[in-house]
Amino acid sequence: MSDRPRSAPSDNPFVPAAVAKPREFDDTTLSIPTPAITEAVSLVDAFLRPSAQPAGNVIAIQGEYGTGKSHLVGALLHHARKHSDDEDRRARVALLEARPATFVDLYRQLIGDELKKEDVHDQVREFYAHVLADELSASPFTSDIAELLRNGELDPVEASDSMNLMESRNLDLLGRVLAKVTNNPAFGIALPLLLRPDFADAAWEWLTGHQPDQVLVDRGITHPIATEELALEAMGVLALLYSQRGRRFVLAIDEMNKVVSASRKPSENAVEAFQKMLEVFAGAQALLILAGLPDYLDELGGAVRQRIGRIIPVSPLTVANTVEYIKQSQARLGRGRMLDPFTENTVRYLVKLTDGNARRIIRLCSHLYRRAVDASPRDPARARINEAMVREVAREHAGATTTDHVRNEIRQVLAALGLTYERDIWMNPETDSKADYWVPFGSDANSGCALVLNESVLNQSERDALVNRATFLQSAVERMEVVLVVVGLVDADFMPSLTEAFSVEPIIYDQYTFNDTLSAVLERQLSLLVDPGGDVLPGVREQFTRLGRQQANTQRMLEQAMKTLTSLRASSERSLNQLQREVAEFTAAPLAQRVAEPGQPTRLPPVVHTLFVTARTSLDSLDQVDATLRAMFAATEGDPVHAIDARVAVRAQFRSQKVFSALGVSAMLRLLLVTFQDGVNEWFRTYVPSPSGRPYPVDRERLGALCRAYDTVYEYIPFFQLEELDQFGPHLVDGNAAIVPVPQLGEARELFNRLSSRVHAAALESVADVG
Amino acid sequence: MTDPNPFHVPGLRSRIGPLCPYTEPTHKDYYVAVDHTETAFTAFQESLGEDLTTLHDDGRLTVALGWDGCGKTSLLNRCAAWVKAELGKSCHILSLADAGRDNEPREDRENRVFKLLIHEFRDRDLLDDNQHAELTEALDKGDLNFGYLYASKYVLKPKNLVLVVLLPRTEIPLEVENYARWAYPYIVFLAESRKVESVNEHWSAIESAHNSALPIRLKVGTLDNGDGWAFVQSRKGDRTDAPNYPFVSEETIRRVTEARTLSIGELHKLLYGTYQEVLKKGKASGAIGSGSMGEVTLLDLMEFHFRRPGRQ
Repeated sequence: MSDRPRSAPSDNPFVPAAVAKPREFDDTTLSIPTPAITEAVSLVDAFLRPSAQPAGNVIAIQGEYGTGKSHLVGALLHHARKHSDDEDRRARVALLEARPATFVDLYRQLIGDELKKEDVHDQVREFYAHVLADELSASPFTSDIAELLRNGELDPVEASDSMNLMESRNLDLLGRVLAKVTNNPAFGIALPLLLRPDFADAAWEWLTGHQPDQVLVDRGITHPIATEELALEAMGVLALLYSQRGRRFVLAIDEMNKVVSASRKPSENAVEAFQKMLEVFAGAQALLILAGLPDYLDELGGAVRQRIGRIIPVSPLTVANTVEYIKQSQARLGRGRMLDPFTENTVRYLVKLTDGNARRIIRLCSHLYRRAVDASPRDPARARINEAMVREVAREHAGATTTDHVRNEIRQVLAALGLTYERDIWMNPETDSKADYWVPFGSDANSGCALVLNESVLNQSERDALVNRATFLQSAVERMEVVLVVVGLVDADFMPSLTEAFSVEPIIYDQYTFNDTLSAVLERQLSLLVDPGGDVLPGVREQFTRLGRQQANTQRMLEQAMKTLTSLRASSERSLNQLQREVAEFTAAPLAQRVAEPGQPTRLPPVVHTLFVTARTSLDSLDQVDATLRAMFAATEGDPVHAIDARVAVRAQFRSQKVFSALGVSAMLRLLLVTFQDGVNEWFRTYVPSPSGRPYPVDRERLGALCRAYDTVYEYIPFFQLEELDQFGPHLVDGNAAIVPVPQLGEARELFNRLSSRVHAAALESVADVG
Repeated sequence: MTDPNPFHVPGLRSRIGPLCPYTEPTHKDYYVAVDHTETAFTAFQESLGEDLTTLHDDGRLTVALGWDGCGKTSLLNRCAAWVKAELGKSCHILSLADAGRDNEPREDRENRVFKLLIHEFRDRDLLDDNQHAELTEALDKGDLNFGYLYASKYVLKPKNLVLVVLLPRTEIPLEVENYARWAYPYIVFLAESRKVESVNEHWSAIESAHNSALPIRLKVGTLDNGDGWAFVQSRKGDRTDAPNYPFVSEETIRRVTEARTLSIGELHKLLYGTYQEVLKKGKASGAIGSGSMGEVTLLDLMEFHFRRPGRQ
């Protein structure tokens, strides 16, 4: 430990944003030589090596969000810029960042933003200089001038003018050379016009995608570069223009999936034009780097794939990669290559939780570092990160969004697909079979798809609960697809069992992909619920699949039952021990003291207490059965006629069986509220103030566990059933509807939904205030 | 005193071209049979025939095609001068070669030509008010076809006048085709284009648009073997009998023109410019007058190239 600084600097060496910006990649950017980076860099080196033969190539990078594709693109472009052999012939590098767009937009980004007018003009001028030089070098008399032109010492347009050369002939020659790369003669017409001052503006405007000026229309250019085909063709022409005479051109298109994906299928013509563009790159001294989610290549088809020199999948970060990343990050701040406050084990756990996703790892590293330093403010050098801390931070940050936000997105996807749905439905009231969203679909009245929404799944009990729920759901309805959406992280070890229990692999929420992924999954799973029609085989196949699934469900139910029994026994033993301990403590305490404490005194600070009171009040406003019954009895004592009306009115409400379920829900909520409040009260009683004002980790963990316990139970309570109580109220009896405000179910649900997180925050805050 | 630079063409601001014998009769002697221009000129004469009165039945479009500097303008000026010489006062030459720019839309250029034609008619007292109104209305309506037909039938024919119009150079084949369509009796359009291939590709459409007499296509090209020396000889750039005048040898010209395609324009400019420099140098050093002006060598010519503007 001697090489460690005496106290860890407070600067966080890890970037919380963790979004790579290829344009900002420079010498100071931290980059770990993963296999993907090493291979891609070697391909760029091979491309940059001087060669008389066309060294053109196409590299396709594919990987999921956050795996480091953009980082890799940035690394390659930086490498290409830096490592071109010849200073004068340094590779021209251009980057296109695909917004949700078309190839036309990409082309406009290339010609307008990346390649400026003067730049393109200079390229054409140089091209022309060489055409002229070839012409002049044929004669010993003008060979020296040819040399000057080749070296760029002589301007070709001025030379042509001053020597009275046959400009039109030479420009035509240039046009023919340029037209060779395209079937469209328009480029052969327009590019030479850039060299004629009177036409340069018109030609440039057309090249940048505008309608052709009349002077261009007169010359046969009739259409703007506004179709996918023309845009791709134009990109090929520019690649050729920029990769002449030993020069190298590198073009990278990041986030290709925003141009081409399953939901953005390219036209046949566009695919063909894309194919041709790849050929142009491969046949020139030009390198095309494509990067995006894996599906963009699938959509471009086999012919395009064949023309790609190398497809590089971006692999997840390994433990070794992550260790290296942490060490380099710290070294960059002058702390030496140290791993502390991380350990090999915490890194291993981190990688496992994040599935090696670079963005998630980097984000969590940043939060973990901050948390560790905060936990040891007096001696940051001794800060350590353990697995519990990783779990805690992962829970807090991995989702980086609220469940409400995700619910909003789910609603949008369902609406976009034209699907009707119900929220929070118990498919079988006797089991833990709540569907957060139930989407009825298919020919059977009961068939459909259930969506289960859950936060991080980081421990065994969380996994078991979900497996149980999937199993109960699938047992409840014969034809059901069950999809799990996780807002947070899933321990990689749990993925296989969750995938098996649910109909598909869990969807881990990602703000960039969630809509597309959920749409695709729903479309696919719902299609399984459609009757196959006259085709017998698929029907039989589906039947077998279903039988197999049911068998697996039964098996899992048995296993879960065994586990539950074991767990219950263990729990009972623990409870017995606890009881024995408490009895021992109780009997040991002075009798007088026991008498003096009739009830547990509240230790809740006002800010926390208010939260519980507010929740209870909101529940009272929803459930006015008590008030109604009281009003009924009060009326009975008075006017007999009125008493009959009151009884009839109240009785009418009890005809629906659902009212009793609703009352059960209400009672359960009250019970949950009271027990949660008691739990939190107990926490305040046993909480040990720390000198820093921040609770000790063990207390934080206890509070977190209490809140999670509330969430776990609350998750299973069908809050929506309280709707059945909305007709209840004293107005049934006195007939004065205006007296009681309409209960706000949504507001109440919001209060209960967020109760645990608010209590958690308020409790920590109040403790800190005290500290 | 004879101009010491034999490549200087008198009466021209540019000093070297293009020749224009209908404004400078002396230019007639400056034509040299190079670049196929002589052949082209003969072809023009033959196409119109000895009796130019055929133009009273059918107008004519003549198009000179060739790269820059190959002598298209000089050739067309020669053609115009010949027609004028043949027809005398019953021929009007209208030079509108400078009336248009490459970078303006075809239609604008065509309209401007017609507008100037109306002005010229008026300046030359060829129009009455009614005719002027008719032509102006045709222009306003963009109906140039009617305009030229009207000019042919109601302006030129009654006066038995042939109008030779030297058109602005064009790169647009459709423009050539339009003039083929508008070549009504008594009208001769002389057009030139350096877009040789485009116009050639469009030629059948141009022919179809023209009246029954075929349009005339004159092709001028680059220098053939011996053309360069023939040009020097015709301008007496090889004379060695006058001590104060520089000269160039056949070998030097051969080396300049061999192995590379040259236009007469390029050679002319090179020789004129080099001779000017040599003369200037001689004057400064006092060589002129002493009789020591010598040969213009290949080195002189090369150096002239290198001293030209355009070096970056």
